[in-house]
Amino acid sequence: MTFYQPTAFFYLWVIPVIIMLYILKQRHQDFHVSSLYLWQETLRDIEANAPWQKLRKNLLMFLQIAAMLLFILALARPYLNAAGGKAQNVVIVLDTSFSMQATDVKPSRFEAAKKQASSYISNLSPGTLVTLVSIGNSAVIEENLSSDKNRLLETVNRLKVTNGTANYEDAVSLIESIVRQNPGTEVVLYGDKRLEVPGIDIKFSRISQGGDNYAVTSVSYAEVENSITVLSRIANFGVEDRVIPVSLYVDGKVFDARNVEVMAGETENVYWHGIPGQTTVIECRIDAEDALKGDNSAWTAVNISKTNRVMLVSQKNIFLEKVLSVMKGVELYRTGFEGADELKGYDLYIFDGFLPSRLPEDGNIMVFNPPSNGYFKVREEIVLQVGEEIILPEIRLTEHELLTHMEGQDFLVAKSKRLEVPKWGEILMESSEGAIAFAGSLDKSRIVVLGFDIHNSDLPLTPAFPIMMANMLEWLLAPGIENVESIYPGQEVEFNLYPKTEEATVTTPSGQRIKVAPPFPAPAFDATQETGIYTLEQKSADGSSIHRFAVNPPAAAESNLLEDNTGVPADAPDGPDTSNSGVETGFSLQVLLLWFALLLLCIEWWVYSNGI
Amino acid sequence: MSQLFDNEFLKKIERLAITSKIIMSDGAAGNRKSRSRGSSVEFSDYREYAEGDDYRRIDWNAYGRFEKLFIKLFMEEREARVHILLDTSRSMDWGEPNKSFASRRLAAALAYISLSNYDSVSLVALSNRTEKVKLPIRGKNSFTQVLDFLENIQYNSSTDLVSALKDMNMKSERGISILISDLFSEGNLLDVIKYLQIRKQEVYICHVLSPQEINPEIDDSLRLIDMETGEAIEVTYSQLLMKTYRKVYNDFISGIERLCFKRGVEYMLMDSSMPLELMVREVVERKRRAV
Repeated sequence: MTFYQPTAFFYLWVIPVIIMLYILKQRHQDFHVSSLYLWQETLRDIEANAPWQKLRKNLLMFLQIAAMLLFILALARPYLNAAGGKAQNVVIVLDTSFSMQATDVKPSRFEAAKKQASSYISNLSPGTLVTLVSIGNSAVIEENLSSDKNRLLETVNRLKVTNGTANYEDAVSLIESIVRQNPGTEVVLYGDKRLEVPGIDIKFSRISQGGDNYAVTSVSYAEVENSITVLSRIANFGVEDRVIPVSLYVDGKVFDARNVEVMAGETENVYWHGIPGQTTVIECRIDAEDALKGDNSAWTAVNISKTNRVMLVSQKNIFLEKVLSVMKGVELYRTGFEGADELKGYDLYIFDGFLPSRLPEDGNIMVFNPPSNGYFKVREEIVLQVGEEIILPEIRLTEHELLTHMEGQDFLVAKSKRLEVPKWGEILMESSEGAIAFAGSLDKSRIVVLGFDIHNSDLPLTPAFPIMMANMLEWLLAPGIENVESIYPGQEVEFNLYPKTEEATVTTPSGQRIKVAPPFPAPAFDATQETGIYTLEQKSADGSSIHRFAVNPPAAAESNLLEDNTGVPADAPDGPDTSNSGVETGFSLQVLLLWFALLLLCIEWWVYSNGI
Repeated sequence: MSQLFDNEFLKKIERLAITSKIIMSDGAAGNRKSRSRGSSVEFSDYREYAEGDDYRRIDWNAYGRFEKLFIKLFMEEREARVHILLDTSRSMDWGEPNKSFASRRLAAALAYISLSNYDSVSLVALSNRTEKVKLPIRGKNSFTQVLDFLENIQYNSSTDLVSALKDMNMKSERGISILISDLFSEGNLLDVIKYLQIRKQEVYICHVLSPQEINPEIDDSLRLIDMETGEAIEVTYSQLLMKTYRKVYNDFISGIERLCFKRGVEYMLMDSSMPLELMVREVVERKRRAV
């Protein structure tokens, strides 16, 4: 037995006080009567019938002392098998992922988990150091080695369930490092999925009862001539085959509704045709009650692709002209070096063998083969410094995203200019003599510089050339959002704002407006906890442009409520389930003792009033 | 006129006297038939002859018929001597309504009724000794003496009825003794009854108790002090205490009732809050039945 408040024994001084009160006895009020004859008989009779009557007052005293002892013991908060056992350090892991929103456990898995965790914390031995970890998209230490139970309880209470996916890899490495630092640490997990960490016995409190759940696992679209066709995937995570009513909403209005029969554990593809081409937002919704409501809707945003104006400043470059002419969404303009200093009004400027003295400020820049010892300035600052031409023995490609899918593509560059890479630039290609290509963002502009003339390379003759150009143009002419049609909650979004954008804001599904720029370049946007359609608005002198993207529930990872899968990282060895054991919470004797004390007081009252 | 015996009271006992007319007779020496069988002219009953009986009263006609000796019994007509024995110990001066008040009014009423019936009335105030004696009074005109006597009674001694009666030295002649007391007395009630019956008294006991003695009201811890002895005991309210008191009280009353029944004594329990009419009617009814 453990006493959580041993200081309560201080109140034991009350016991002698009770005894003193009995010793001092109660004062009786004088009252004259005609005769004591009957009263004396009465007292004799009482004493004759209850031989232990003289002990009655003592019995009351003993009952009161016993009740008081029970009260004091209750104040001392005794526990049997205190939670956390003898561990001095405890890690409490709380799953805050999307599936914890399920209501198969009332009121919800997350609320139940919080309640259990709070109870566990309350029952811990005093002085136990608790580290509180939440697992959402990442594992976060909410409280570190705290023994302040009130603070811990407040923190648990403050935690909110997220729309994210439980990041078990993160959690495992965090737990491992905590346990490594404090061997003997007890780890307790409150969640719906088991977590296994080799060599660590994680006590697991499963907060799950399973339950039927349907989900829209994805919504995507394709433009077919002037209309749009949508593919939605409807999953039945229940144990019985179901006919699930599904509706498609186009720009907030019902477009179509169907009953989709989905076998237990299966996913059905549902196509929706004939959606108007000017549609901006498509939502697919399941109109059925289930244990997890958050995944009953999924969205996709239709962003009309914009034609980009590209200015190629070149004497003659058949390769560039060819590759640019086949790029989708590119309107190509060409000019010679004359008059190329004062260009403006284009989305992308490609300078081939030429550098203007001033960089155009309204578009992105791509430079091939800048003149030796040339430079250009942005706001009087030299941002490009070109070195001497060098003969290249060999070049090496970095793992930059602009060079993806180019692995294994061999090409040679005979000679190139050596480039001084500015601090905002990242090297794309280098040789033993120095960098020959780099890319980077300077303020609002994105800049790619290749130090060589492509005529001095066999690059245009290899498949690597169109791949590289496609990568680079995609980056330089990207729509507002890169590689994003739909993301999961909590994921970051990189915005590729137009160079002429003066201000950019994002409106969340709940209508909250968040400013993302200035400053430029806009940092990654991570306020994506909410599911639904987000709208990016870029304002410039020419007006504003709208781009939408969808944040959809992580249905694939989190919607299967029946799943008894284990949050085992991919590289962890398979371990038996037995490495997880249940959470033992201590048994509080306080309430029990209080009930006993109350019972004793009732007995005392009964003894007193019946004069037994 | 005192508060004890006001005009209203006097009118009331006058009415009571009229309504309690009991067996009347024309006898010069009394207006009431005695209970005792004697040799008067009015035949009452037969009784088998027992040794010691006056053989002159044997009915030989009856002997001729039944071959058994019978004697004739006759109503004896004479003046009744009524003794009103009033307990005047301190314990009687207690209760709400006060027992002394109720008992004196009862005594006065009974005296008046007796005087109205041409009986002689003696009043005796008893405590641990005979406090006061009012020798036989005759005639309604003497009633004021009764009132004077009763009004001047002091309640300041303890009770010992046996000693008090012995102190009185009552003559042994037929009569009626009405004892008005709370019976919280030293000595045995049996001795009291025996003493009176030996002196040929027809005994009536009016047991007057206050409502607080019948149903005590205690709701706290009290130190009960005996008015007469100053002795004290401590009691604390409990259901058991009250239950036991009730039992002791019932035993006390039923013990007296049994004793009285055994000894042929008329016993009447009276609550000091009872109306006077009821008290008097109780006594008169008992007397009528007894005759």
